[in-house]
Amino acid sequence: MFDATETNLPILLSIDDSELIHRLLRARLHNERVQLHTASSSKEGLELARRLKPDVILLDLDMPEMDGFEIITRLKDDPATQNIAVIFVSASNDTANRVRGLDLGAVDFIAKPFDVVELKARLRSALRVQHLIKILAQKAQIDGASGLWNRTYFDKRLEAEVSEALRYNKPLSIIVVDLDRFKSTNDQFGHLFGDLVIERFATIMSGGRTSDVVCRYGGEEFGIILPQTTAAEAAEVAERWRNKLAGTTWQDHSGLVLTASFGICDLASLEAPKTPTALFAAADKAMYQAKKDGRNRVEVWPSKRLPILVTGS
Amino acid sequence: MTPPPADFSRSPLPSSLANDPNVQDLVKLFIAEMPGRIKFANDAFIRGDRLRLQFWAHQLKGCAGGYGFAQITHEASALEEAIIRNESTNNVFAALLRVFELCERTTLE
Repeated sequence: MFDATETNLPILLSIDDSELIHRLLRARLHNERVQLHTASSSKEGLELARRLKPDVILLDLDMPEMDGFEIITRLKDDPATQNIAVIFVSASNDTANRVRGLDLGAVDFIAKPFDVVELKARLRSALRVQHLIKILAQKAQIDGASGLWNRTYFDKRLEAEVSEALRYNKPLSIIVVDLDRFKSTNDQFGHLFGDLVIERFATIMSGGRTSDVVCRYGGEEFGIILPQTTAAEAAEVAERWRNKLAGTTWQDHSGLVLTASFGICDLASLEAPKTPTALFAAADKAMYQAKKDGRNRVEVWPSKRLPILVTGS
Repeated sequence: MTPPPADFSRSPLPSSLANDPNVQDLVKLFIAEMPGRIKFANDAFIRGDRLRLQFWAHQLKGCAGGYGFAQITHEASALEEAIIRNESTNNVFAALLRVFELCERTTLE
């Protein structure tokens, strides 16, 4: 028996106006590793789909007010729900209905009354495919060498976080980091060692707060989004990373000290328009200021209002 | 035209899932709710509300088999078809009676 409170279980939403069907599903699927949610009307179903973003929807074809065809059309038209796998469940044996359902984007069709073994098998199959699609989508946004999010993801996420922070008036900071003299490190110790440095530094940054979004922006440059974080708090985070990297010992290269320069900006410090591009540009400027001032530093933008907090050795 | 009262002298119709501990309680509940279900269809028929009756037959067709009553699914399907084909009131009545007859005989085992 699994723990139904586990939050990482796949989410299944059944949209069916028959409570008798929901009862059966709850009884039949209670040993499956899924979180089952139910909606008894099309309106409730569409709302839950947007809110829960389920992995799979079991959708009754014959619903009053709005039938399953109309519901799936709306789901597929909405960017927030268009990637959810929809399985039609219907007492209708009409081939034309099945074809229409599949043409509208359903992944499968289950006849009512359903055979439990078949239902579970089809559900597992849909969940497997969804899982693979998620992995593929994620891989496309992950940097291969560091295992961090890539620049494409960073840009998309920063836009979303800036919009969220402005709407709800929440603090938001970003850190731009550049490894100091990385080209000489590569030239002197080889690219394999360079890759190891990237990997170790990525591990240092990923080991922090789970809410921070750590991305490899390109080459030896990294961008970190820190939701609900002021510039002063972000500077503390950056200072921890700076210290850890500078204190890292490198096998076969005893005495080698590698460092990085950090630039920080928070949304509150920006003049209007407060855009993702402006936020990044300000943090980038702060990072270049840190380089100019001798590297291995954390610099907060604008430096006049918040002077250099930390000076490295 | 009102369907006749239930004839309890007929043989019981046990659920094929009587020995399935996962759904025994649900089957009991399904049977306990049968009078209300029958009344709903009865009222729809008396009012001549074929759409409501069709909806009822469609739902019963979709779930009765899941509770171990495949025969009800079969007869509910026939009733739904009769309504969709816009058959005579007598034919719909006869199909409804066949569904009622089965519903009234349902038992766990």
